[in-house]
Amino acid sequence: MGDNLQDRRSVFREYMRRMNPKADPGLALHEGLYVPSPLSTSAQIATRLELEPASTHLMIGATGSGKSTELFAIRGRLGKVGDVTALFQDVAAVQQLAQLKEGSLVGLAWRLIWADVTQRYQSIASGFSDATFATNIANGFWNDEEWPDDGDRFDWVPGLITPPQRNEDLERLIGYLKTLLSQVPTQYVLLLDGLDRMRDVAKLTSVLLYDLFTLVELGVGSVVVGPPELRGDAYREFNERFATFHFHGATDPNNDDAQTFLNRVLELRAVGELLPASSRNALVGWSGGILRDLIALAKNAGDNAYGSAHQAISESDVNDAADRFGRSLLVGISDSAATRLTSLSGFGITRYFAFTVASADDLDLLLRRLVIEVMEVPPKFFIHPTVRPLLRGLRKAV
Amino acid sequence: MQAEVWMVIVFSSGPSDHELASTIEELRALPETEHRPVEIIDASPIHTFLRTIFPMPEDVIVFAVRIEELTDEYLREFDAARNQLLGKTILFCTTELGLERLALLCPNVYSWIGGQCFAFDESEGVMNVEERLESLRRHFHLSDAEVIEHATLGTLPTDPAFVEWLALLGRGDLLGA
Repeated sequence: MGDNLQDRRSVFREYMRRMNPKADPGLALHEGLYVPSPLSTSAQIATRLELEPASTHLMIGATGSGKSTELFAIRGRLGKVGDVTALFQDVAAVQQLAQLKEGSLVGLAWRLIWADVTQRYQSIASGFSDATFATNIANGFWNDEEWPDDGDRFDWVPGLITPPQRNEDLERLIGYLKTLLSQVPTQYVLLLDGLDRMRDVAKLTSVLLYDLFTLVELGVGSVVVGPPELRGDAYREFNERFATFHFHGATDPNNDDAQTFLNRVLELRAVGELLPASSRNALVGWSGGILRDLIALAKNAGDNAYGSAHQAISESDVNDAADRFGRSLLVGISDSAATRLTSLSGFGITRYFAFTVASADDLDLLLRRLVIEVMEVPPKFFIHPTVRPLLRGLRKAV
Repeated sequence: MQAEVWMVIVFSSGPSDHELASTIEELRALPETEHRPVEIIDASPIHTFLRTIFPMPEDVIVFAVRIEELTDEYLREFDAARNQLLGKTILFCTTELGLERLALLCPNVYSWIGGQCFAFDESEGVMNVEERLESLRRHFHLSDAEVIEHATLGTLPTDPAFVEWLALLGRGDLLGA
C-alpha cells in the first residue's frame, strides 16, 4: 500500500510539472511536448524567412494562445537553415515598455547580435574595435564630466524652419551594426516577444515602423508579437507594412483538426493512465481552443483528482476545474461588460455569433477571453465554454 | 504545492498576521513544502515588488501581500514584465478588490494564474472531525489504530491525507516518525 501511494504522488507530481501553464515554451519544445498548431503560423513565417531572411512579420492573438511557443518553433526551424540565425528576446524582460522609444529595438538588436558574434565568431569579435562604443550607446554608460563645457560665445536664435532632430548616438550605433553585419557569415532574424503587453499602441507602432525597417535595411529580419489592438481597422495600413500578418488565436474546438491538436497536446503531457480519453475530450471542450487555458484546466483537474484521492482524473474533476476556471474569468467584470456578455448568450443553442468590437467593453471581453475569436473567414466568435454555464447567475445579478 | 505555482488567496480585508501565519502553517504540513523557505513581501510601499522578488532563489515561496495597494500603472508594468519572475512560486494574498484589479490590469499575469484563486476561510479548518475521520477510514479501509501503528513503525506513506489523519487524531507527534 505504501509503495502504491508513493507512486501515486510521484505520478501526480510529474503530471503537474508537465501541465504548467507558465512553463517556458523553449523548455516545452526541448522536452518534446510541442505539437504543431493547425494554424501553421510558425511554419508559414519560417518558410518565408528561409527565402527572405530580411523580412518583417507581425503576429497577434489572444493571451495564452501559444504565440511565444510559435516563436520558439520558428527558431527551431531556422536553426536547421545554415546561414540564418534566429535570436529570441522577450522585450519586456529587458526594456521598460513605458520607456520604449525610437532606437530601443535597434539597441536591443545590437546587444543580441553582439552576444551571438562573441560566442560563435570570436575572431570577428576580437577584431571589432568599436564594440565598446556600440554597447555603451545601447546600454548607457557613466559619463565623466571632468571638463566643463565652456559654452559657445554666441547664442543660437531659432529660425522659422526647425530641422528634424537627429539622434546621433542612434546613427552611430546603426553604423557599427552595419559594419559588424557585413563581416559575419550569417543573416540574423530577431524574434521579439512581449510587445503584446504594451498598452500605448500608438507609440509602439511608431517605434516598430522606425526600428524594424531600419533593421531591414541592415539585412536583419524580425518577427514581432504585437498587442491585440492591432487587429482593428485603424491599424490596417500599419499591418500591411509587414511581409506577413498573422492572427494566432484560438483553434475552434468544434473543428476536427483542432480537436486532434488539443488532444495531442494533452496526450504528450499526461502521465501513464492518469488522463483517460473521456477526460481529455472534456478538457478540450472546456478550453475554448486556447492552449494555455487547456493546460491550466488540465492542471486544476489534476489538483482536484489528487485531493479527492482519485487514481485517475475523472470527468467530474474536469468539470469542477472548469467551474472554478470560469468563475475566475468573470472576476472584476464591469456591469456594462456583463450586460453585453449576457446579451450575447441569448443566441441559445447557436454557439457562434456575429461580433464587432464597437466599444471598450467589447475589447475587454476579447482581451479577457470571455469572448473567443477564431480567425476564419468570416471570423467566428463564441463565449468561453467555462463561462457559458455561469451566465444565468450573471444575468440575475445584472 | 508544485514549484513555480502562482495563485491568489483572497482574504476578506487583507491578510492579518494571524491569517498569514495560519496559511504558512498549512503549507508547512505538506511534505512538498515543509522545508521550503518562505518570504513575506509587502508589495506596496515603494513599488519595488519586481526588483525584490527577481533575485530570490526559486525554492522560496513568496507571499505577496498588499498588492491591492499598487497603482494601476505599476500593476500594468508588472504585467508587462511578468517573464522576469518565471520560475518563482508566488502566492498573492489580497482582497477581493485586489483580485479584481489583478484580473483587469494584469491579464497576462492572470492567465498564468490559470484559475488558481481561493478564498481564505478560517472556518474551513473547523470541520466535523468525526465525519472527516470516517471518510478517511472508508476510503483507505484502515482503522485509526492501524494508521497509528503504521506511523509508529515508520511505514506510513507521506500522503497528505495521512498527515491530516494523524493531526485529527491528535497524534501529530508521530509525523516524521
